[in-house]
Amino acid sequence: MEISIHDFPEAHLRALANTGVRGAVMRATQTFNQAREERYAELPDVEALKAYAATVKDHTLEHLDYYLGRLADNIESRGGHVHFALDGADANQIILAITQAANAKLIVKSKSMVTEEIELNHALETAGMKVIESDLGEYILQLEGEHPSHIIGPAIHKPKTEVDELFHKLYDVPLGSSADVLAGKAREIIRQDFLNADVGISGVNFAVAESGSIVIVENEGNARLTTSRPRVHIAVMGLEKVIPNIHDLGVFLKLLPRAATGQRSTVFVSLISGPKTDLEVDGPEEFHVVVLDNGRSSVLADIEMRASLRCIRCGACLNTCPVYQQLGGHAYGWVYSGPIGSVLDPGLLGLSEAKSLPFASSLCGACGDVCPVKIPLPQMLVTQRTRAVSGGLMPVAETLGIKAFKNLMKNPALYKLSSKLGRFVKWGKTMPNLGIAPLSSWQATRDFPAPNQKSFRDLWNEGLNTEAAPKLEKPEASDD
Amino acid sequence: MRVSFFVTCVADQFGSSAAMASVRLLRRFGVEVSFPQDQTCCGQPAFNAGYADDAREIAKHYLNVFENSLETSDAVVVPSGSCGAMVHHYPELFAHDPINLRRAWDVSSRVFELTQFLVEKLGVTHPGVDLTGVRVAYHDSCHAMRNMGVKQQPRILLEAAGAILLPWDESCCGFGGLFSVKLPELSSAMMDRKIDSLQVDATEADVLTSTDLGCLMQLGGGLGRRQNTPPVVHIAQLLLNGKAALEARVAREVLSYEQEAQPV
Ligand code: SF4
Repeated sequence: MEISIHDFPEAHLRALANTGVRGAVMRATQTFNQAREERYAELPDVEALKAYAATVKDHTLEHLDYYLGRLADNIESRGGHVHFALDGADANQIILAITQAANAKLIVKSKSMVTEEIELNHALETAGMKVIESDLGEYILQLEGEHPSHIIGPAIHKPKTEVDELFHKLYDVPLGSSADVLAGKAREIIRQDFLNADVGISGVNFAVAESGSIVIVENEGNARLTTSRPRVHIAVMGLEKVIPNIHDLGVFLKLLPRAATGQRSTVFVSLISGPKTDLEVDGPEEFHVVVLDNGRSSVLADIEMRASLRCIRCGACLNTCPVYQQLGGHAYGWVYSGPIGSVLDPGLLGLSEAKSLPFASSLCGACGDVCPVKIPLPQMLVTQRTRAVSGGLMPVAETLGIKAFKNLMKNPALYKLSSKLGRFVKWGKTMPNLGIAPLSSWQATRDFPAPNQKSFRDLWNEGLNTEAAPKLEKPEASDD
Repeated sequence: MRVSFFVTCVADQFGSSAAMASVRLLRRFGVEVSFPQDQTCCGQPAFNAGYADDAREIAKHYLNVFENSLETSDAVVVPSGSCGAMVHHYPELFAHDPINLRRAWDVSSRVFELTQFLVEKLGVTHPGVDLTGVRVAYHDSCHAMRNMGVKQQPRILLEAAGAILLPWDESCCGFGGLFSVKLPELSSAMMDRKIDSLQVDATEADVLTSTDLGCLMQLGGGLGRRQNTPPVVHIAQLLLNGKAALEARVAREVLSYEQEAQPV
């Protein structure tokens, strides 16, 4: 996926102008939010469960070398292969080599953000292979040549009418068909690809070190087909996906579907622990796990940001974010959008590349409330901002403005003086728009109040300080 | 009970009647209020924009002023949750400065938002005015709610006075300090969504209120551009003056609302 994070200042304005997308994103996220809150509320103590999940993740990250080693040993002991990839290019090369050795022509994929991150489809297609995305949302986007805009609902930005038109144009499905009919059509087509595919590529939700299993949660059954039908299965995971043991998995399986879609459980949960054995009739003959770093170890080494690697990619922080709700994911310019994207992308891509993102927030804090692994997202947004400032990435005018503000606020005499000076001009109720930024930016859509005729300080010194206390009498309830 | 009043720079300049109402409301419940004259700002605009060093300098000034005043008072009361929340961030700011960290803990643990102070510290259950039948759109300030735990306190007081609280979602009004001028279109889109989610017009809400002047500047400023909108008043004005607070019929007058500077 092309990195265009530096375009945020323009991209977010384009997003705001697109009312179709905004409407679709708002509706979808509100549905997710409501379902999540209902399913969270069913748990006896959701905060305790979140805290436990956070602790498990922190522990694993502290001992990542150990757990990744265990994971690799256990996968290999059952005949699987584990590959460690330093970056996207490295991972693509590894995957390409496996697919070429398998003489692959057709590849089916199930949903995986990490393969978006490394632009795997592009690498495979350049090498002459055909790649089919089998998740319905991803399939639609692939037909349209678009990228996902949400971690778990890749096509939530698409109004249904657009999907109608696409399926009408390509497959002659009548306009206005139900979602079931559209999904049925896609299923019919993709089913053939499953039968013919040489290689299946999936993501990984959790990798259990102790049992050497990868775990995939999904609702459509396409991941199960992707991982079982083709002769070769390649699972691609970020190195932070590992968890210690199967008992902990239970906690994450409780939290992830609730946080993500507001389900108690996803329709399918697959635990895959190796290639087909002699006793089994189905399953791939070859099983590969590609473990990707791609900047994650530098986030791991960054003590203030490390907790962002707890992320289980549920998308709850996107759904609840009032900025994401307005913009959708594309404006952010990279695979990971919303609050987690604004925190993580600077770590993975470099802050100067992603410097706009930490500022794309009113710091309302909603993301921190919903995160199932208690990542302190609001605090991390401020930390990234602080780094952008100390790295000299901010406009000079802003930096000078803040310095002037600080000098004013450190110096009470100066503050009191300017409070007086500001009242020499009688503005009326609201400030006139004199076209001077940043005030004029505010005034484009909002009135800005003029300073009160008297500041509170003046009112205090002119009599409020000695005024008698107002009487306290509980009034009779009147009914009007 | 003696409190130091932290007016906040925004209320000092743009919300003096809200601040005055806060002082009177505290006095109504027997609180002795002092006003440390050298106070300025809490440093929130600098902190949120990423200027931690500048925020620290302002914070040190704040600590000097209020440490001093806390020698003769029990608490600091502030009529704006986000400014109070900023003081609660001071320990973070001084995490690597043990001397100031201690001071930051000492002071911040005694800073309360106005309604929080009334309900939690004074045990007030009724504000002493009548708001029977008044349909109130109460906006949760994100920082008051999430960083100071202000959620039920204002509702308890409004409902005790007989107000009818209109259901309104918790989403952000889009203010966000410098965010509102650095990304003004986005900020305004968030504001419109918040306003539209209540469909506030004079026929549905009698008044719009909040604990935070930043949010009220944003929502009041946006409503000022619309027709047929309810008055926007700070919660202290509503709790002090009751139905009389509704007289500022035009939203844009709200923050420069000095006409009713008389005690009730
Ligand atoms: S940061 Fe938390 S809420 Fe956001 S996607 Fe990751 S786990 Fe989910």
